[in-house]
Amino acid sequence: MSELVQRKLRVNPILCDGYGYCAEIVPERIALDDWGFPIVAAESIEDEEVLGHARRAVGTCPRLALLIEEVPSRLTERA
Amino acid sequence: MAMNLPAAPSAAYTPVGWRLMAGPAFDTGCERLEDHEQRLKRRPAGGPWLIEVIARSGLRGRGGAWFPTARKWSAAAAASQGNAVVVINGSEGEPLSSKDRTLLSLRPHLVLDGAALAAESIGATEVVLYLSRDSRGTNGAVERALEERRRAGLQEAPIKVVRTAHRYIAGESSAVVNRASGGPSKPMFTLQRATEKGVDDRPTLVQNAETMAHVATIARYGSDWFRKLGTAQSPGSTLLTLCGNVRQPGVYEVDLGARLGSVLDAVGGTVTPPAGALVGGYFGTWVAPQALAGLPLDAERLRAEHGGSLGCGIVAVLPRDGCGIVESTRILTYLAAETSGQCGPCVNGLAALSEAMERIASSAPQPGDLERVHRWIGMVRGRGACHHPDGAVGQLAGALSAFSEHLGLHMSGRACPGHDVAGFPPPPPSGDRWR
Amino acid sequence: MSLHLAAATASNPSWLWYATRGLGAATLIVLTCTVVLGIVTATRWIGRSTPGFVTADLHRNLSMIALGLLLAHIITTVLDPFAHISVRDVIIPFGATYRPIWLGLGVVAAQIMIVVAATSMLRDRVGPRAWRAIHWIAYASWPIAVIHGLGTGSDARAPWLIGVVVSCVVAVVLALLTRIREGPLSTAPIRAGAAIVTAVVLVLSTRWALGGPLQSNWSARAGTPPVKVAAHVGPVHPGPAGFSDPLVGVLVRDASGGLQISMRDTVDTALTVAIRSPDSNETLPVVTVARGSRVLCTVPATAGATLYAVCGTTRLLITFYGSQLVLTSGGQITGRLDTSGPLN
Repeated sequence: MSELVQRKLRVNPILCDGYGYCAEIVPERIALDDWGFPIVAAESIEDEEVLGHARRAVGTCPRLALLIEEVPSRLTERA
Repeated sequence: MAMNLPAAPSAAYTPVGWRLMAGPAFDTGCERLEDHEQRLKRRPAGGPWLIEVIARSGLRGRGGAWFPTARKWSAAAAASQGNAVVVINGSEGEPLSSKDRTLLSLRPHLVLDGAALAAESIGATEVVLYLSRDSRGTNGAVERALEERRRAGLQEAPIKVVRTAHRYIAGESSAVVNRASGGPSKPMFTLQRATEKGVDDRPTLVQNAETMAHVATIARYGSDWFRKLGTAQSPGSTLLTLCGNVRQPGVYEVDLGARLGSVLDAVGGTVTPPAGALVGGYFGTWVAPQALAGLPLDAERLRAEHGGSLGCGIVAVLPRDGCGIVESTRILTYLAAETSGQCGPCVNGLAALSEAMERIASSAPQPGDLERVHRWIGMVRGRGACHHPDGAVGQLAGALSAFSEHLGLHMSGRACPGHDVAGFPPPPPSGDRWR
Repeated sequence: MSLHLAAATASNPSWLWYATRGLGAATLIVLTCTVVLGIVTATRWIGRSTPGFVTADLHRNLSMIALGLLLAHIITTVLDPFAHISVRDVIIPFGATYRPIWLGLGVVAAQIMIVVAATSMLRDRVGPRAWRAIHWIAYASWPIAVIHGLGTGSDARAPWLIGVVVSCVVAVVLALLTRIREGPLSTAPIRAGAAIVTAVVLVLSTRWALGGPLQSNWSARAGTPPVKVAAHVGPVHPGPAGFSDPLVGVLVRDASGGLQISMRDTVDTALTVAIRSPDSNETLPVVTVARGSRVLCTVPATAGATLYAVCGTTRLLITFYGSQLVLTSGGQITGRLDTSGPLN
């Protein structure tokens, strides 16, 4: 069963300057590449605790490059 | 010397004098408005009916993505509140391609007709013709054509010319929108497509010049006529730039149902037996020599059989003893210099890849170079604001795969004879301006 | 009697004044820490054990503390009666009576800090590019705050304040040098320019401080209004009606036989009246009315035991009391001044 709204972490690669705070705050979703830039997992965030960390990461980014995209998705069939 | 390839099934084929390239001989230069109107009759008025016809015709964009044209028009029409903008992309930043330049300098009224039809069909009040500053021949013909239309008092949306520096990435959709809105020709990161929010935040239809020319013919002759050529999935004709190891390089109008072998046969074949070819331009696919003759031009078949695309219609043939690894590296280095410099993974990744590949191409690799190259190819994909890094690493990955046997020679440190072979066009010097 | 009491209050600052100074210094210290952390965040200098985001969070939390101290500093300033800084002076800079320029700079620095904090709290609405542009202006608030602190205080020469200011300046300059040194080649011109600007601002500010607040006469030069009794008390005879005051003074006869009378109003003690006998080319005695050193009028008067003159639009009657002996040989003289209106 999927959520009504999918919440995906996305990075604006143009604004991003590779500070790496996001990878420190929400390592469940973000790793750093060989040059210090974030590799963001594409799946929707279902866990509330991880979502909390993700929101904190969004607020900490010094370039405001991280965002949470809310994508409406269809409900699957309920049992 | 005839091409030494197995015989391929060929359709009856006339490369010149057809569809887009029909009309006066090319040495008479740019076709004038009165001749164009006499030959083709005045165009009908566009409208929602035309979107239907284009949908039935199956026309796909000729800018490189082969995106179904009717779908783009529908999206723009839905978002438009009478304020949409139509942009004709004639900048042709791809160094190996000459088709848009050729079309604009010989048959500009086809392109401009198409744009006017698009504007009427999606509810646009403005047309922008997006051109490179460098193509002087094109610029002259275009200015004359615009002047002719003004003097003839044609009832159509006003056409404004916006010029850009001649950069590879200046033709990318969001870069076009950026430049047409007054900014530099650099891609933008946006969660919305241009059809929803483009030039000056208005719904925008960005279409390749050749696509517009096809629209101008479809509007007059209909979708059934268009489908008489090509295949069910890739109907119609397309302009193809043939270069490199070919006897008569140039721009040809070809049937999308044909195979590459018959096209090359019809235009005089290659100069020397080819060592392979790059299909689709600098973001394209390297094809081994034995696959060339039977190579389909149909988009679906090309993707299914070779994992590639015709791109903006380029086939660049390698000479005998030409080296795909070397040429691919030169292209990669050029693409690394042509990033907009905005995204860390692209700027750093392409630079690192270029450095390692230069060593490999010179047969002087350091230990771990190939592993690093493969690692970085995976690391860079999809992580830029536009598809520049994807295209660049895709081209490289294709070369490493198509020439995997020959790669062994490079990795073992033995000199490659193809390093200094002439016959494959090298990339031009990289630019430095952004407007 | 009441005048003397007012004078006493005016020269002894209340505890609020000291609180303002202390809170101002505290704000500067915390602001300095905030600025240093902000600069260090940008250099991405990450301690081996400290994650980078901790620096960013600390910067943000300290800026909130600085804002709190700033608010307290502003409140004590307005409440304190010593310098008469009103709420209006705290909102619209450079209009106060107390050291207007230097106080005004503090208002400017405070406003910058508030705007920067507000846009950071609302950064989602403001958008990345506007937020970043406004945050750059935060750099300006710090030196302005330092100069404000040196310019407004009566204790700029106190060792503790000099110590605080020097420490803060050293900290920020060191942090700036660290940031300027790092960076790709493409930003080298900007960084060089920043280094030059920093050096120039530092040199000019130091020269100003040494020649200004650290000099003993700074208080007057800075625009501290003089603590005058007269400033708290209005005119003795504000008008529009006239008045009648006793006069007291001396009469002097000079060698040529001319007469000079010099008297003071005993109620409006700043008012003086002088009369002299006519010169060789005059026929009437001349009356000079002055307030302190400011001459109000010099006019001819009718002669006799009662003089009549017109000063501006005010009619004067000066009457002399005393024996003929005083009038002929000089000495103390008394009289009365009657006017038809005020003499201010």
